[in-house]
Amino acid sequence: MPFIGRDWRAPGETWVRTPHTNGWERTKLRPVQMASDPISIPQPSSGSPCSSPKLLYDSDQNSSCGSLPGSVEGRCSSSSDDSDSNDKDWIPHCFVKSTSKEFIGCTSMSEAFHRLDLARAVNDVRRFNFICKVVQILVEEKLPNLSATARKSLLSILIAICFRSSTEDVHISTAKELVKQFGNGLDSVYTCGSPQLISKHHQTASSLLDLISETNVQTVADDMADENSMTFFDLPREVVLLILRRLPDHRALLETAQVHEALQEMIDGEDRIWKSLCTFHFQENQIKNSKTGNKTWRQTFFDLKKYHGCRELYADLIHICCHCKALFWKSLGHPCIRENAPSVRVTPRQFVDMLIYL
Amino acid sequence: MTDAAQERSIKLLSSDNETFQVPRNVIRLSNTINTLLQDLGLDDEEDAGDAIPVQNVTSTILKKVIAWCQHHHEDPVAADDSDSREKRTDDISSWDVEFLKVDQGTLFELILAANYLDIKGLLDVSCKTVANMIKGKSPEEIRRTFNIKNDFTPEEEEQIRKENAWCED
Repeated sequence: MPFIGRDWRAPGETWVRTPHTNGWERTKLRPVQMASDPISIPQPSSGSPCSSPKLLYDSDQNSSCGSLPGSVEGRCSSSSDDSDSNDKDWIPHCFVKSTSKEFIGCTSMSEAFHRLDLARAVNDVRRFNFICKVVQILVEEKLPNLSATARKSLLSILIAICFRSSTEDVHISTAKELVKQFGNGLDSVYTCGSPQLISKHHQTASSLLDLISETNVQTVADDMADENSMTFFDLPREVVLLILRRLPDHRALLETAQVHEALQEMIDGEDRIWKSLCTFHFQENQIKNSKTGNKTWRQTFFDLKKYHGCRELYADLIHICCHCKALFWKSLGHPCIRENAPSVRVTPRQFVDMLIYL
Repeated sequence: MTDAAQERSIKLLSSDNETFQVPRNVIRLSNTINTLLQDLGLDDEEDAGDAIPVQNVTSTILKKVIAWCQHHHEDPVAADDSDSREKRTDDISSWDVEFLKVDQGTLFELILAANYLDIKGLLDVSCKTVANMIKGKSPEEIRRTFNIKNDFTPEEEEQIRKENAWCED
Protein backbone atom coordinates (compact mmCIF):
# COMPACT_ATOMS: atom_id res chain seq x y z
CA MET A 1 0.00 0.00 0.00
CA PRO A 2 1.39 3.37 -0.87
CA PHE A 3 1.42 5.97 1.82
CA ILE A 4 -1.37 8.44 1.28
CA GLY A 5 -0.67 11.63 3.15
CA ARG A 6 -2.58 14.84 3.26
CA ASP A 7 -2.87 16.43 -0.14
CA TRP A 8 -0.22 19.10 0.01
CA ARG A 9 -1.42 20.92 -3.07
CA ALA A 10 -3.04 24.10 -1.88
CA PRO A 11 -6.27 25.20 -3.57
CA GLY A 12 -4.52 28.46 -4.43
CA GLU A 13 -4.69 31.87 -2.92
CA THR A 14 -7.90 33.77 -2.55
CA TRP A 15 -7.68 37.35 -3.69
CA VAL A 16 -9.90 40.31 -3.01
CA ARG A 17 -10.26 43.58 -4.78
CA THR A 18 -9.81 46.55 -2.49
CA PRO A 19 -11.40 49.92 -3.10
CA HIS A 20 -8.75 52.10 -1.50
CA THR A 21 -5.74 50.86 -3.39
CA ASN A 22 -7.75 49.93 -6.45
CA GLY A 23 -5.85 46.71 -6.77
CA TRP A 24 -5.93 43.09 -5.75
CA GLU A 25 -4.69 41.82 -2.47
CA ARG A 26 -4.27 38.35 -1.13
CA THR A 27 -7.06 37.54 1.34
CA LYS A 28 -4.67 35.93 3.75
CA LEU A 29 -2.78 39.17 4.12
CA ARG A 30 -5.94 41.21 4.63
CA PRO A 31 -5.65 41.62 8.39
CA VAL A 32 -2.34 43.37 8.05
CA GLN A 33 -3.44 45.68 5.31
CA MET A 34 -6.85 46.57 6.56
CA ALA A 35 -5.54 48.43 9.58
CA SER A 36 -5.62 51.45 7.35
CA ASP A 37 -9.07 51.19 5.80
CA PRO A 38 -12.30 51.06 7.78
CA ILE A 39 -14.37 50.02 4.77
CA SER A 40 -15.54 46.48 5.01
CA ILE A 41 -14.70 44.00 2.33
CA PRO A 42 -16.88 40.93 1.82
CA GLN A 43 -14.96 37.81 2.69
CA PRO A 44 -15.01 35.19 -0.05
CA SER A 45 -15.48 31.76 1.43
CA SER A 46 -13.05 29.02 0.69
CA GLY A 47 -12.96 25.35 1.44
CA SER A 48 -9.53 24.96 2.90
CA PRO A 49 -9.53 25.41 6.66
CA CYS A 50 -6.03 26.73 7.06
CA SER A 51 -5.63 29.04 4.15
CA SER A 52 -8.76 31.06 4.91
CA PRO A 53 -8.97 31.74 8.59
CA LYS A 54 -11.71 34.16 9.49
CA LEU A 55 -9.62 37.19 9.94
CA LEU A 56 -12.01 40.00 9.44
CA TYR A 57 -11.59 43.20 11.35
CA ASP A 58 -10.42 42.29 14.75
CA SER A 59 -7.42 44.49 14.74
CA ASP A 60 -9.33 47.72 14.52
CA GLN A 61 -12.30 46.94 16.65
CA ASN A 62 -11.66 50.00 18.77
CA SER A 63 -11.78 52.47 15.99
CA SER A 64 -14.24 51.29 13.43
CA CYS A 65 -16.83 48.98 14.93
CA GLY A 66 -19.62 51.24 13.76
CA SER A 67 -18.93 50.87 10.09
CA LEU A 68 -19.03 47.12 9.99
CA PRO A 69 -21.87 44.96 8.76
CA GLY A 70 -24.06 43.36 11.41
CA SER A 71 -22.55 39.92 11.58
CA VAL A 72 -19.08 41.18 12.23
CA GLU A 73 -20.26 43.89 14.54
CA GLY A 74 -21.73 41.32 16.88
CA ARG A 75 -18.42 39.59 17.18
CA CYS A 76 -16.67 42.84 17.62
CA SER A 77 -18.65 44.11 20.55
CA SER A 78 -18.81 40.78 22.30
CA SER A 79 -15.12 40.10 22.22
CA SER A 80 -13.45 41.46 25.28
CA ASP A 81 -10.43 39.25 24.82
CA ASP A 82 -9.51 39.25 21.20
CA SER A 83 -8.17 36.38 19.20
CA ASP A 84 -8.45 33.55 21.69
CA SER A 85 -12.20 33.64 22.07
CA ASN A 86 -13.63 34.48 18.70
CA ASP A 87 -11.38 32.59 16.34
CA LYS A 88 -12.08 29.21 17.77
CA ASP A 89 -11.44 27.51 14.48
CA TRP A 90 -8.05 29.01 13.93
CA ILE A 91 -5.04 29.21 16.21
CA PRO A 92 -2.06 31.12 14.83
CA HIS A 93 0.86 28.77 14.35
CA CYS A 94 3.31 27.79 11.66
CA PHE A 95 5.53 24.83 11.02
CA VAL A 96 9.24 25.08 10.68
CA LYS A 97 10.51 23.71 7.41
CA SER A 98 12.04 20.30 7.70
CA THR A 99 14.06 18.15 5.35
CA SER A 100 11.21 15.74 4.72
CA LYS A 101 9.49 16.11 1.37
CA GLU A 102 6.21 14.84 2.78
CA PHE A 103 5.97 17.72 5.15
CA ILE A 104 5.13 21.27 4.20
CA GLY A 105 6.75 23.82 6.39
CA CYS A 106 6.60 27.53 6.29
CA THR A 107 8.56 28.80 3.34
CA SER A 108 9.03 32.50 3.82
CA MET A 109 9.27 35.14 6.46
CA SER A 110 6.12 36.90 5.32
CA GLU A 111 4.19 33.65 5.51
CA ALA A 112 5.48 33.05 9.01
CA PHE A 113 4.47 36.56 10.03
CA HIS A 114 1.04 35.98 8.64
CA ARG A 115 0.57 32.53 10.08
CA LEU A 116 1.62 33.71 13.51
CA ASP A 117 -0.71 36.65 13.17
CA LEU A 118 1.94 39.15 14.20
CA ALA A 119 0.28 42.26 12.80
CA ARG A 120 -2.94 41.63 14.67
CA ALA A 121 -1.22 40.43 17.80
CA VAL A 122 0.25 43.91 18.18
CA ASN A 123 -3.05 44.95 19.71
CA ASP A 124 -2.58 42.46 22.52
CA VAL A 125 -0.73 44.11 25.36
CA ARG A 126 0.79 40.76 26.35
CA ARG A 127 2.37 40.18 22.96
CA PHE A 128 3.21 43.75 22.00
CA ASN A 129 6.67 43.84 23.59
CA PHE A 130 7.79 40.61 21.98
CA ILE A 131 6.76 41.77 18.53
CA CYS A 132 8.38 45.16 19.07
CA LYS A 133 11.64 43.43 19.93
CA VAL A 134 11.44 41.27 16.82
CA VAL A 135 10.74 44.30 14.67
CA GLN A 136 13.54 46.21 16.36
CA ILE A 137 16.08 43.51 15.56
CA LEU A 138 14.85 43.36 11.98
CA VAL A 139 14.94 47.08 11.28
CA GLU A 140 18.23 47.66 13.07
CA GLU A 141 20.28 44.82 11.66
CA LYS A 142 18.53 42.70 9.11
CA LEU A 143 16.88 45.07 6.69
CA PRO A 144 19.39 44.32 3.89
CA ASN A 145 18.79 40.59 4.39
CA LEU A 146 15.08 40.84 3.79
CA SER A 147 13.38 40.20 0.50
CA ALA A 148 11.08 42.92 -0.75
CA THR A 149 8.03 40.85 0.18
CA ALA A 150 9.35 40.23 3.66
CA ARG A 151 9.94 43.95 4.01
CA LYS A 152 6.36 44.59 2.97
CA SER A 153 5.09 42.34 5.73
CA LEU A 154 7.45 43.99 8.15
CA LEU A 155 6.03 47.34 7.15
CA SER A 156 2.50 46.12 7.77
CA ILE A 157 3.50 45.15 11.29
CA LEU A 158 5.02 48.60 11.69
CA ILE A 159 1.76 50.13 10.51
CA ALA A 160 -0.13 48.08 13.07
CA ILE A 161 2.28 49.19 15.80
CA CYS A 162 1.90 52.84 14.85
CA PHE A 163 -1.88 52.59 14.74
CA ARG A 164 -1.99 51.11 18.18
CA SER A 165 0.48 53.67 19.52
CA SER A 166 -1.47 56.57 18.16
CA THR A 167 -4.98 55.43 19.06
CA GLU A 168 -4.10 54.32 22.55
CA ASP A 169 -1.33 56.84 23.14
CA VAL A 170 1.24 54.27 24.21
CA HIS A 171 4.86 53.59 23.26
CA ILE A 172 4.99 56.62 21.00
CA SER A 173 8.76 56.94 21.09
CA THR A 174 9.28 53.24 20.59
CA ALA A 175 7.11 53.30 17.49
CA LYS A 176 8.78 56.44 16.19
CA GLU A 177 12.19 54.93 16.69
CA LEU A 178 11.25 51.78 14.79
CA VAL A 179 9.81 53.71 11.85
CA LYS A 180 12.85 55.98 11.69
CA GLN A 181 15.19 52.99 11.70
CA PHE A 182 13.13 51.41 8.97
CA GLY A 183 13.38 54.58 6.89
CA ASN A 184 17.13 54.81 7.42
CA GLY A 185 17.59 51.18 6.49
CA LEU A 186 15.89 51.77 3.15
CA ASP A 187 18.70 54.07 2.11
CA SER A 188 21.25 51.28 2.20
CA VAL A 189 22.58 50.16 -1.17
CA TYR A 190 21.84 46.55 -0.32
CA THR A 191 18.09 47.00 -0.01
CA CYS A 192 16.10 44.61 -2.18
CA GLY A 193 13.24 45.62 -4.42
CA SER A 194 12.57 48.08 -7.18
CA PRO A 195 13.30 51.79 -6.73
CA GLN A 196 9.56 52.44 -6.95
CA LEU A 197 8.84 50.05 -4.12
CA ILE A 198 11.57 51.57 -2.00
CA SER A 199 10.26 55.06 -2.52
CA LYS A 200 6.76 53.84 -1.73
CA HIS A 201 8.03 52.37 1.52
CA HIS A 202 9.76 55.66 2.24
CA GLN A 203 6.50 57.50 1.80
CA THR A 204 4.63 55.10 4.05
CA ALA A 205 7.30 55.49 6.70
CA SER A 206 7.10 59.25 6.63
CA SER A 207 3.32 59.30 6.74
CA LEU A 208 3.47 56.96 9.71
CA LEU A 209 5.76 59.43 11.47
CA ASP A 210 3.22 62.17 10.78
CA LEU A 211 0.45 60.02 12.13
CA ILE A 212 2.23 59.44 15.42
CA SER A 213 3.18 63.03 16.01
CA GLU A 214 -0.31 64.36 15.17
CA THR A 215 -2.18 62.26 17.66
CA ASN A 216 -0.34 63.66 20.61
CA VAL A 217 -1.95 67.01 20.14
CA GLN A 218 -5.31 65.33 20.27
CA THR A 219 -4.79 63.85 23.71
CA VAL A 220 -4.02 67.24 25.18
CA ALA A 221 -7.32 68.58 23.88
CA ASP A 222 -9.14 65.64 25.44
CA ASP A 223 -7.72 66.37 28.83
CA MET A 224 -8.34 70.06 28.73
CA ALA A 225 -12.03 69.41 28.18
CA ASP A 226 -12.51 68.10 31.67
CA GLU A 227 -11.17 70.57 34.20
CA ASN A 228 -12.47 68.82 37.27
CA SER A 229 -11.16 65.37 36.64
CA MET A 230 -8.19 64.14 38.55
CA THR A 231 -4.71 64.58 37.11
CA PHE A 232 -1.43 62.82 37.58
CA PHE A 233 -0.22 65.31 40.16
CA ASP A 234 -3.33 64.97 42.30
CA LEU A 235 -2.12 61.51 43.19
CA PRO A 236 -0.39 61.27 46.55
CA ARG A 237 3.34 60.71 46.53
CA GLU A 238 3.14 57.10 47.72
CA VAL A 239 0.86 56.21 44.83
CA VAL A 240 3.13 57.89 42.28
CA LEU A 241 5.95 55.86 43.80
CA LEU A 242 3.92 52.69 43.28
CA ILE A 243 3.56 53.61 39.62
CA LEU A 244 7.25 54.48 39.24
CA ARG A 245 8.19 51.14 40.80
CA ARG A 246 6.34 49.45 37.97
CA LEU A 247 8.52 50.96 35.28
CA PRO A 248 10.56 47.99 34.15
CA ASP A 249 13.81 49.60 33.04
CA HIS A 250 16.21 52.46 33.65
CA ARG A 251 15.37 54.17 30.38
CA ALA A 252 11.75 54.68 31.34
CA LEU A 253 12.85 55.97 34.74
CA LEU A 254 15.37 58.44 33.37
CA GLU A 255 12.90 59.77 30.81
CA THR A 256 10.28 60.20 33.50
CA ALA A 257 12.74 62.07 35.66
CA GLN A 258 13.04 64.66 32.92
CA VAL A 259 9.32 65.30 32.87
CA HIS A 260 8.98 67.36 36.01
CA GLU A 261 11.02 68.52 38.97
CA ALA A 262 8.87 66.62 41.45
CA LEU A 263 9.36 63.40 39.51
CA GLN A 264 13.07 64.00 39.17
CA GLU A 265 13.38 64.54 42.90
CA MET A 266 11.51 61.30 43.52
CA ILE A 267 13.54 59.21 41.13
CA ASP A 268 16.84 60.66 42.35
CA GLY A 269 15.89 60.54 46.00
CA GLU A 270 14.08 57.25 46.39
CA ASP A 271 16.67 54.51 46.34
CA ARG A 272 13.91 51.95 46.80
CA ILE A 273 12.91 52.38 43.17
CA TRP A 274 16.40 51.42 42.05
CA LYS A 275 16.59 48.62 44.56
CA SER A 276 13.49 46.97 43.15
CA LEU A 277 14.93 47.45 39.67
CA CYS A 278 18.08 45.60 40.77
CA THR A 279 16.20 42.70 42.32
CA PHE A 280 14.11 42.39 39.20
CA HIS A 281 16.94 42.31 36.71
CA PHE A 282 19.68 40.51 38.60
CA GLN A 283 20.30 37.41 40.68
CA GLU A 284 20.78 37.68 44.41
CA ASN A 285 24.44 36.68 44.33
CA GLN A 286 25.21 39.15 41.56
CA ILE A 287 23.74 41.92 43.66
CA LYS A 288 25.62 40.77 46.74
CA ASN A 289 28.93 40.98 44.89
CA SER A 290 28.30 44.42 43.53
CA LYS A 291 26.50 46.19 46.36
CA THR A 292 29.26 47.24 48.70
CA GLY A 293 29.47 49.79 51.48
CA ASN A 294 27.75 53.03 50.73
CA LYS A 295 27.19 52.50 47.05
CA THR A 296 23.68 53.59 46.15
CA TRP A 297 21.23 51.21 44.53
CA ARG A 298 21.20 53.45 41.51
CA GLN A 299 24.95 53.08 41.11
CA THR A 300 24.68 49.36 41.78
CA PHE A 301 22.10 48.98 39.06
CA PHE A 302 24.22 50.61 36.38
CA ASP A 303 27.30 48.66 37.45
CA LEU A 304 25.41 45.39 37.28
CA LYS A 305 23.86 46.32 33.97
CA LYS A 306 27.29 46.82 32.50
CA TYR A 307 28.34 43.30 33.40
CA HIS A 308 25.20 41.26 33.09
CA GLY A 309 22.78 43.16 30.88
CA CYS A 310 19.12 43.54 31.61
CA ARG A 311 16.62 40.76 31.85
CA GLU A 312 14.01 40.51 29.14
CA LEU A 313 10.66 39.13 30.12
CA TYR A 314 7.57 38.85 27.99
CA ALA A 315 4.07 38.11 29.17
CA ASP A 316 3.51 36.03 26.09
CA LEU A 317 6.03 34.73 23.62
CA ILE A 318 6.61 32.34 20.77
CA HIS A 319 7.27 28.72 21.65
CA ILE A 320 8.37 25.87 19.46
CA CYS A 321 6.80 22.48 19.93
CA CYS A 322 9.37 19.73 20.39
CA HIS A 323 7.02 17.19 18.90
CA CYS A 324 5.59 18.71 15.72
CA LYS A 325 8.04 21.60 15.25
CA ALA A 326 5.31 24.20 15.19
CA LEU A 327 5.95 27.77 16.20
CA PHE A 328 3.08 29.17 18.23
CA TRP A 329 2.09 31.73 20.84
CA LYS A 330 2.49 30.25 24.27
CA SER A 331 -0.83 31.49 25.59
CA LEU A 332 -2.81 30.33 22.58
CA GLY A 333 -1.32 26.89 22.11
CA HIS A 334 -1.45 25.04 18.80
CA PRO A 335 -3.14 22.01 17.34
CA CYS A 336 -0.71 19.20 18.01
CA ILE A 337 -0.90 15.51 17.28
CA ARG A 338 0.30 14.75 20.75
CA GLU A 339 -1.32 16.16 23.81
CA ASN A 340 0.84 18.15 26.20
CA ALA A 341 3.84 17.91 23.95
CA PRO A 342 6.82 19.71 25.47
CA SER A 343 7.81 23.02 23.96
CA VAL A 344 10.64 25.48 24.42
CA ARG A 345 10.61 29.21 24.31
CA VAL A 346 11.99 31.15 21.36
CA THR A 347 13.59 34.49 22.13
CA PRO A 348 13.05 37.35 19.68
CA ARG A 349 16.60 36.95 18.37
CA GLN A 350 16.27 33.21 17.86
CA PHE A 351 12.95 33.83 16.17
CA VAL A 352 14.50 36.31 13.74
CA ASP A 353 17.42 33.98 13.02
CA MET A 354 15.01 31.14 12.30
CA LEU A 355 13.08 33.25 9.83
CA ILE A 356 16.12 34.74 8.13
CA TYR A 357 17.49 31.32 7.28
CA LEU A 358 14.21 29.80 6.15
CA MET B 1 -14.92 31.36 58.39
CA THR B 2 -18.00 29.21 58.01
CA ASP B 3 -19.89 28.69 54.79
CA ALA B 4 -22.77 30.75 56.08
CA ALA B 5 -20.42 33.66 56.62
CA GLN B 6 -19.19 33.29 53.04
CA GLU B 7 -22.73 33.54 51.75
CA ARG B 8 -23.49 36.70 53.67
CA SER B 9 -23.56 40.02 51.99
CA ILE B 10 -22.02 43.21 53.27
CA LYS B 11 -23.32 46.73 52.81
CA LEU B 12 -20.96 49.45 51.68
CA LEU B 13 -21.77 53.13 51.75
CA SER B 14 -20.06 55.37 49.20
CA SER B 15 -19.06 58.97 49.87
CA ASP B 16 -22.18 60.21 48.14
CA ASN B 17 -24.41 58.02 50.32
CA GLU B 18 -25.24 55.23 47.96
CA THR B 19 -25.46 51.75 49.44
CA PHE B 20 -24.03 48.69 47.73
CA GLN B 21 -24.68 45.06 48.64
CA VAL B 22 -21.59 42.96 48.15
CA PRO B 23 -21.17 39.23 48.88
CA ARG B 24 -18.75 38.62 51.73
CA ASN B 25 -16.40 36.45 49.68
CA VAL B 26 -16.18 39.09 46.96
CA ILE B 27 -15.27 41.93 49.26
CA ARG B 28 -12.62 39.84 51.00
CA LEU B 29 -10.33 41.00 48.15
CA SER B 30 -10.23 44.34 49.94
CA ASN B 31 -7.80 43.86 52.79
CA THR B 32 -9.06 46.99 54.49
CA ILE B 33 -12.64 45.77 54.69
CA ASN B 34 -11.66 42.18 55.32
CA THR B 35 -9.57 43.10 58.35
CA LEU B 36 -12.21 45.48 59.53
CA LEU B 37 -14.84 42.76 59.49
CA GLN B 38 -12.56 40.27 61.15
CA ASP B 39 -11.27 42.61 63.83
CA LEU B 40 -14.69 43.86 64.77
CA GLY B 41 -15.97 40.30 64.87
CA LEU B 42 -18.69 41.19 62.42
CA ASP B 43 -18.24 37.90 60.62
CA ASP B 44 -20.04 36.02 63.38
CA GLU B 45 -23.09 38.19 63.40
CA GLU B 46 -26.14 36.85 61.70
CA ASP B 47 -27.75 39.94 60.20
CA ALA B 48 -25.96 42.35 57.93
CA GLY B 49 -26.20 45.32 60.26
CA ASP B 50 -25.15 48.83 59.31
CA ALA B 51 -23.46 49.74 56.07
CA ILE B 52 -19.71 50.28 56.21
CA PRO B 53 -18.88 53.82 55.12
CA VAL B 54 -16.18 54.09 52.46
CA GLN B 55 -15.60 57.81 52.75
CA ASN B 56 -13.03 58.40 50.06
CA VAL B 57 -14.77 56.60 47.22
CA THR B 58 -17.65 57.88 45.12
CA SER B 59 -20.45 55.59 43.99
CA THR B 60 -19.29 55.53 40.33
CA ILE B 61 -15.84 54.36 41.34
CA LEU B 62 -17.10 51.99 44.03
CA LYS B 63 -19.36 50.36 41.47
CA LYS B 64 -16.37 49.74 39.21
CA VAL B 65 -14.28 48.46 42.08
CA ILE B 66 -17.00 46.00 43.05
CA ALA B 67 -17.33 44.90 39.43
CA TRP B 68 -13.60 44.18 39.36
CA CYS B 69 -13.77 42.21 42.61
CA GLN B 70 -16.72 40.23 41.33
CA HIS B 71 -14.81 39.17 38.26
CA HIS B 72 -11.65 38.31 40.16
CA HIS B 73 -12.85 36.88 43.46
CA GLU B 74 -12.31 33.32 42.33
CA ASP B 75 -8.80 33.87 41.02
CA PRO B 76 -6.15 31.70 42.59
CA VAL B 77 -3.88 33.59 44.95
CA ALA B 78 -0.76 34.52 43.03
CA ALA B 79 2.56 33.25 44.26
CA ASP B 80 4.14 36.11 46.12
CA ASP B 81 7.02 37.09 43.94
CA SER B 82 6.19 40.75 44.05
CA ASP B 83 9.33 42.27 42.63
CA SER B 84 9.35 40.38 39.39
CA ARG B 85 5.59 40.50 39.02
CA GLU B 86 5.20 44.21 39.52
CA LYS B 87 7.68 45.06 36.79
CA ARG B 88 6.00 42.96 34.15
CA THR B 89 3.80 45.72 32.85
CA ASP B 90 2.60 43.73 29.87
CA ASP B 91 1.23 40.98 32.09
CA ILE B 92 -2.35 42.23 32.18
CA SER B 93 -5.27 39.97 31.37
CA SER B 94 -7.41 41.02 28.44
CA TRP B 95 -10.44 41.44 30.71
CA ASP B 96 -8.52 43.94 32.79
CA VAL B 97 -7.32 45.78 29.69
CA GLU B 98 -10.93 46.32 28.64
CA PHE B 99 -11.98 47.14 32.19
CA LEU B 100 -9.34 49.86 32.46
CA LYS B 101 -10.15 51.52 29.15
CA VAL B 102 -11.44 54.60 30.97
CA ASP B 103 -10.46 58.25 31.00
CA GLN B 104 -7.44 59.29 33.02
CA GLY B 105 -9.44 60.85 35.84
CA THR B 106 -11.36 57.63 36.45
CA LEU B 107 -8.19 55.59 36.20
CA PHE B 108 -6.47 57.68 38.86
CA GLU B 109 -9.51 57.54 41.12
CA LEU B 110 -9.57 53.77 40.72
CA ILE B 111 -5.94 53.66 41.82
CA LEU B 112 -6.73 55.75 44.88
CA ALA B 113 -9.73 53.60 45.75
CA ALA B 114 -7.71 50.41 45.30
CA ASN B 115 -4.99 51.88 47.48
CA TYR B 116 -7.44 52.94 50.18
CA LEU B 117 -9.35 49.67 50.16
CA ASP B 118 -6.05 47.77 49.82
CA ILE B 119 -7.06 45.62 46.87
CA LYS B 120 -3.68 44.30 45.70
CA GLY B 121 -4.72 42.98 42.30
CA LEU B 122 -6.63 46.05 41.21
CA LEU B 123 -3.91 48.38 42.45
CA ASP B 124 -1.38 46.33 40.52
CA VAL B 125 -3.15 46.34 37.16
CA SER B 126 -4.19 49.98 37.35
CA CYS B 127 -0.66 51.11 38.23
CA LYS B 128 0.67 48.96 35.41
CA THR B 129 -1.76 50.63 33.05
CA VAL B 130 -0.40 54.04 34.01
CA ALA B 131 3.16 52.72 33.76
CA ASN B 132 2.35 51.58 30.25
CA MET B 133 1.25 55.10 29.44
CA ILE B 134 4.68 56.31 30.55
CA LYS B 135 6.86 53.60 29.06
CA GLY B 136 8.41 54.05 25.64
CA LYS B 137 7.92 57.80 25.49
CA SER B 138 10.09 60.88 25.50
CA PRO B 139 9.72 63.36 28.39
CA GLU B 140 7.79 65.72 26.13
CA GLU B 141 5.36 62.97 25.14
CA ILE B 142 4.83 61.99 28.76
CA ARG B 143 4.04 65.62 29.57
CA ARG B 144 1.48 65.72 26.79
CA THR B 145 -0.14 62.50 27.91
CA PHE B 146 -0.62 63.69 31.46
CA ASN B 147 -0.97 67.35 30.62
CA ILE B 148 2.00 68.33 32.79
CA LYS B 149 3.65 71.72 32.45
CA ASN B 150 7.36 71.73 31.84
CA ASP B 151 8.93 73.44 34.82
CA PHE B 152 12.54 72.99 33.72
CA THR B 153 14.42 75.82 32.08
CA PRO B 154 16.35 74.89 28.94
CA GLU B 155 19.61 75.15 30.94
CA GLU B 156 18.32 72.76 33.55
CA GLU B 157 17.20 70.33 30.88
CA GLU B 158 20.65 70.39 29.35
CA GLN B 159 22.13 69.76 32.79
CA ILE B 160 19.94 66.70 33.40
CA ARG B 161 20.73 65.35 29.99
CA LYS B 162 24.43 65.58 30.76
CA GLU B 163 24.01 63.91 34.14
CA ASN B 164 22.07 61.08 32.58
CA ALA B 165 24.42 60.67 29.65
CA TRP B 166 26.87 58.50 31.55
CA CYS B 167 24.33 55.91 32.42
CA GLU B 168 22.95 55.66 28.94
CA ASP B 169 26.37 54.31 27.86
